[in-house]
Amino acid sequence: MTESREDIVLEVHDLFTNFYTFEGTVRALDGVELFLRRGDTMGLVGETGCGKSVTARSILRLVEPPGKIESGKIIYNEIDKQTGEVKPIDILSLSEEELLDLRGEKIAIVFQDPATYPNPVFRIGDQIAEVVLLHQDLRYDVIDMKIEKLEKSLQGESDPDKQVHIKEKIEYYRELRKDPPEPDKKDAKAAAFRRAVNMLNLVRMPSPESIAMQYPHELSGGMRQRALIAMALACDPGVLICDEATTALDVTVQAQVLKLLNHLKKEIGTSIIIITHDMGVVAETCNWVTVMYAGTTVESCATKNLFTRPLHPYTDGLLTAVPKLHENKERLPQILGSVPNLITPPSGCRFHPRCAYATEQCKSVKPKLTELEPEHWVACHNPLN
Amino acid sequence: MKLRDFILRRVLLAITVVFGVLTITWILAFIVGDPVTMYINENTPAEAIPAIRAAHGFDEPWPVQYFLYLSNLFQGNWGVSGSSSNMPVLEILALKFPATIELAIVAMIFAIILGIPLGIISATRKDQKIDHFTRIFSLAGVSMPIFWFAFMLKYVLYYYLAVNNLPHLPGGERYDTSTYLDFEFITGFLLLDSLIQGNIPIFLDGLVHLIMPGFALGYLTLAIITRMMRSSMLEVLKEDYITLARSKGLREKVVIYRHALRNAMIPTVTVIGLAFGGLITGAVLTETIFNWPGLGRWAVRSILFADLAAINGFTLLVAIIFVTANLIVDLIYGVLDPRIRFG
Amino acid sequence: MENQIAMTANEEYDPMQFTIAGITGMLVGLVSFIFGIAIFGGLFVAGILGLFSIAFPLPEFFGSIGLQGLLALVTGFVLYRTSKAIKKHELWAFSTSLYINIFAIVVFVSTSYPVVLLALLPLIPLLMLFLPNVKTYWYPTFREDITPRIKELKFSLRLVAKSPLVVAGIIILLVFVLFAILAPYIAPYGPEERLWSDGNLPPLSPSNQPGRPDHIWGTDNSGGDVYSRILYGAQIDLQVSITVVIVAVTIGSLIGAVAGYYGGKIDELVMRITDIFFAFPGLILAMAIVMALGERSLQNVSVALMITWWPTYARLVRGQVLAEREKLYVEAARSIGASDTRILLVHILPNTIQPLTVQATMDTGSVLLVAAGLSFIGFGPPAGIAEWGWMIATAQLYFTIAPWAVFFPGFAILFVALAFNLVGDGIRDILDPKLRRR
Ligand SMILES: Nc1ncnc2c1ncn2[C@@H]1O[C@H](COP(=O)(O)OP(=O)(O)OP(=O)(O)O)[C@@H](O)[C@H]1O
Ligand code: SF4
Ligand SMILES: [Mg+2]
Repeated sequence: MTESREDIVLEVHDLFTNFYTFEGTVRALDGVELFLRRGDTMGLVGETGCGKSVTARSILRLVEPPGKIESGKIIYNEIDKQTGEVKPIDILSLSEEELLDLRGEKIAIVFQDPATYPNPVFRIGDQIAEVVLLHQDLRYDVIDMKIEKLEKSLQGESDPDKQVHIKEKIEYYRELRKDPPEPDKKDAKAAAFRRAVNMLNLVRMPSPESIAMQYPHELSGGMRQRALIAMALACDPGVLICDEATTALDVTVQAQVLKLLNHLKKEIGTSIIIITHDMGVVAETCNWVTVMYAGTTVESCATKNLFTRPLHPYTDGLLTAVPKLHENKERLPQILGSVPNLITPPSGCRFHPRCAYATEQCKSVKPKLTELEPEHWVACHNPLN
Repeated sequence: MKLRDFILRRVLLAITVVFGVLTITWILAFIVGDPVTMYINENTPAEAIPAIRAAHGFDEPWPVQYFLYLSNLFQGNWGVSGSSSNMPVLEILALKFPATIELAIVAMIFAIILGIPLGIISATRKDQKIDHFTRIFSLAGVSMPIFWFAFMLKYVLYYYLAVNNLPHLPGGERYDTSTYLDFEFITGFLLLDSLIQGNIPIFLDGLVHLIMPGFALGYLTLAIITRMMRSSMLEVLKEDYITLARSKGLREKVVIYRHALRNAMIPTVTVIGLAFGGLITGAVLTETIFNWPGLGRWAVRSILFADLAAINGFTLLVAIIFVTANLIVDLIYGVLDPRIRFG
Repeated sequence: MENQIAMTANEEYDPMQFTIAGITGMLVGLVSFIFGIAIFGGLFVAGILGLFSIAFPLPEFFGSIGLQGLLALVTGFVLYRTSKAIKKHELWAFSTSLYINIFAIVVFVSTSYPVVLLALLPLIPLLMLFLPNVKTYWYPTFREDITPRIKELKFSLRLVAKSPLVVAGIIILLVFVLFAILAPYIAPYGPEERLWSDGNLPPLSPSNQPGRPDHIWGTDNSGGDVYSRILYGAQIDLQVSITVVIVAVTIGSLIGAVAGYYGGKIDELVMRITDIFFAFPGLILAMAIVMALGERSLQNVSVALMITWWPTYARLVRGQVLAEREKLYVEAARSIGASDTRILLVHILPNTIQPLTVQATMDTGSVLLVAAGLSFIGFGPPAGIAEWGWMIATAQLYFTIAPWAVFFPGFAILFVALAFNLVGDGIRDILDPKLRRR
């Protein structure tokens, strides 16, 4: 992947992640390769258990014991806002402290199941405000909020003396806004909460003020999902990873959320990774696709290419198994054979026991992801054509 | 559901339970046992017994007796304690109550202050040295025969040190009664009373006297709280919302103390309510050893004299305290967990 | 399918064999049921006397007559119902009947009735299950079903062996059980034997009586050998705590299962009753009960502890039953005409056993502690009998002269309670599906 760093926000090279369980070592990721172009929406697809979620968690180093990232490289290319220079950040070598700046601020994630993700004992608004408070500069917000308040009280005030007084105060704050001081905690909290309400508004939540005051269990699944998206987007992250953000929702809500994501992408300028096993979603929303199989990347190309000219036998199987979009909304594609056990994965190409094109070589040598055709990467010894 | 409805429902439930408790004690004292033993002693002539029986209505049909029992209780007539020179039971209970409750509260505070952090540390450093240590420490706590533990403490910290002329803890009593002869109780709570009277030496003396019994009594509760805190913390740390909190870029400290702690406290609080029962049990088993002038020692003494009225009153009081403690815990629960409050 | 027999054409099908298997089973069930009633009847006549016979710790180690009667009743009932189902070719009943018959043998052996021959009675229906026609009907499915379970069990056992704390707990328990059983042979002195010349001797001192063994853990105030008394005390303490838990589990589970299964008013009533029992701290309630029963004896203490502990299990089992029923409704098992017995035996029982085992194991430790506590405050066995709590209570008065007479019995209580907790804790972790896959 020989592209300039400006184009690519996120790249993952040769990522290995294992889970050490009682029954043995689960080799969940086995050399995953990924890259995400700036402004793209990439679909990450594959059967259940192929390691999509683990990849997403690995990117943020959120793999929890007994899981462990063994090796690899994950690079986030940040563009400095002032100089415009590209600054590569090697995520796996960050210290715990530096990692905190990355999470939520530069890369945000929306998890798979909205039922279990928001913390049940905190109000939705507070949970969003928390992340804003952590990463955002709220000095201007605080002053704007104060001015707004004063202006409101000005309207309700009839006493001319007091009006003058209030106006003076407003002037003072306007002046202060040029070089705002650090706000005190209470003000910052209020400002963060205001932003949280704005975010809820942005994700098209009906009556955001009252929703912000509610607890997660009082919201429907779709609303919770939106709240989670609002939380993820609250700090304008460079990359947003949606791990099956829509799978748990019913079809109409799913469509709404997807539309919303595309809309927000334009508004905030985030690059998005959409993890799904629904090829329909990919076709509709993504311009790039990466296909995973049993912990490895097998194919990566533009969505158009993938649907018209799949090169990997597994992708081909996936696509023929998918019913046409408008016909049926079947989710799980069926391929002959079953997903391999990742404790004792097949040698060589992990797909070889199920592959119709397998040769002797496939059983022993692991294929590398290579750019077989322009803009089309495949990991296979005997690609289709 | 509104918070008010929630509280109301809990209180009503507690009241029905208290009625059940009254019924059980009645069954025990009047049906299983023979209530007449409360009013006779070995000097009572056998011919006099039927008359006594009739005088107290013990020969009436059961429903009448039950009604009599309840109305007596509500009028504050809990019988007289034969083993305590025929003093009214309610009076003695009121007299002995503060000493035991003071001890129990100190033990509880000690257990909470130590138990919750220990549980958290143990959970966040799972399978490290400190975790192993904490687990063994708390497992020993729940397996400890408390009367024996109290005795061992007294043997080492008081007797052994005193015999060797080393500085030692007092071996019993609430305060040094021989030095502070003229101390007057107001409420019965020593620490409170000494503060009200501005008598700091007695206050400190009282504290010193509380150390050993407090620890003996609190160890079990400490162990229970630690175990519960550890397991619920481990459970919570596996929850998805913790991963979410981490994904926001929150510091591990914030994740644990803000996001995990509050959720993990929910089951722990229940256990704290239940542990209150353990404290009263512990009082029965340890007060004799520490010569503590509370309910427990009095109950054990009444047992020796087969004083049915005393035991009956004691059991009732303990059950009521226990139900109240659990009611309070239930209410705290409602505050901690919004799902309960409004669900 | 369940109600139809799939037989190959050339095999001869003989429905008689099923009828025989069913009827023998039903008969044995009836016998067991009658046993239960007889035992219970005798029990009521004789009062609750003879609940414990301390003189013979071994044969009646695991049970009292009351428990045996109850078990015989339940086993008989279940055996009857499953056998009836066998007669009707219901597939589920065959494997269940296999287990129940084995269980029945255990129950019969443990009953004090003229055992040897009667105990083998359940063997008949057991063997009937292996009549050629019957066997081809159920055995293949059974094997298919049992293989993964055995695998699972082996896996669990491997985990147990790997967990040092559980192993330690099991070893401590085994040691104390051996102490209890072998006490008459290894204890140098008798449980109530007192050498007045040997009072308050420190550990490892020789006896003042010529020719008597050393007192390795010293003697108490009245010249009782601490070591011997602890060994004999293991008999009583273990017997009381284990019996109490077994009886409480049996009674509690039955009540809980009925409450959970039938729901409605019965459930409400049982739950309110357990609420009331939970309003007392365990030791206090037990204390009040012993007080009301009047006489201070080990029997009364045991009865009091059983009354105190059954609600725990009633709650636990009820919760499990409710959860399982919920699941069953989802699976619509009832709509395909499954009988109550079947649902109880095939779905609910297996899922309840695990949490029940964990709870019971840990509770045995607690019961031991409470029993020792009761006897410490004066509700123990008659004075003089070797029981750990009572030993501490008496020795405590002379602690300045003979502290060892307090130390050692306390350690014994601590170790046994600790062992039960270690094992219970360990089993819980091992059985926890969330933990074991990690
Ligand atoms: N905590 C864990 N312990 C053990 N194995 C795990 C754990 N988490 C994930 N795995 C293993 O890692 C592999 C990949 O899991 P992952 O959750 O990434 O799949 P996925 O592609 O997201 O599937 P789905 O589409 O169902 O979400 C699976 O085989 C799973 O068994
Ligand atoms: S490498 Fe071989 S086995 Fe793997 S997909 Fe290609 S042809 Fe099939
Ligand atoms: Mg996933």
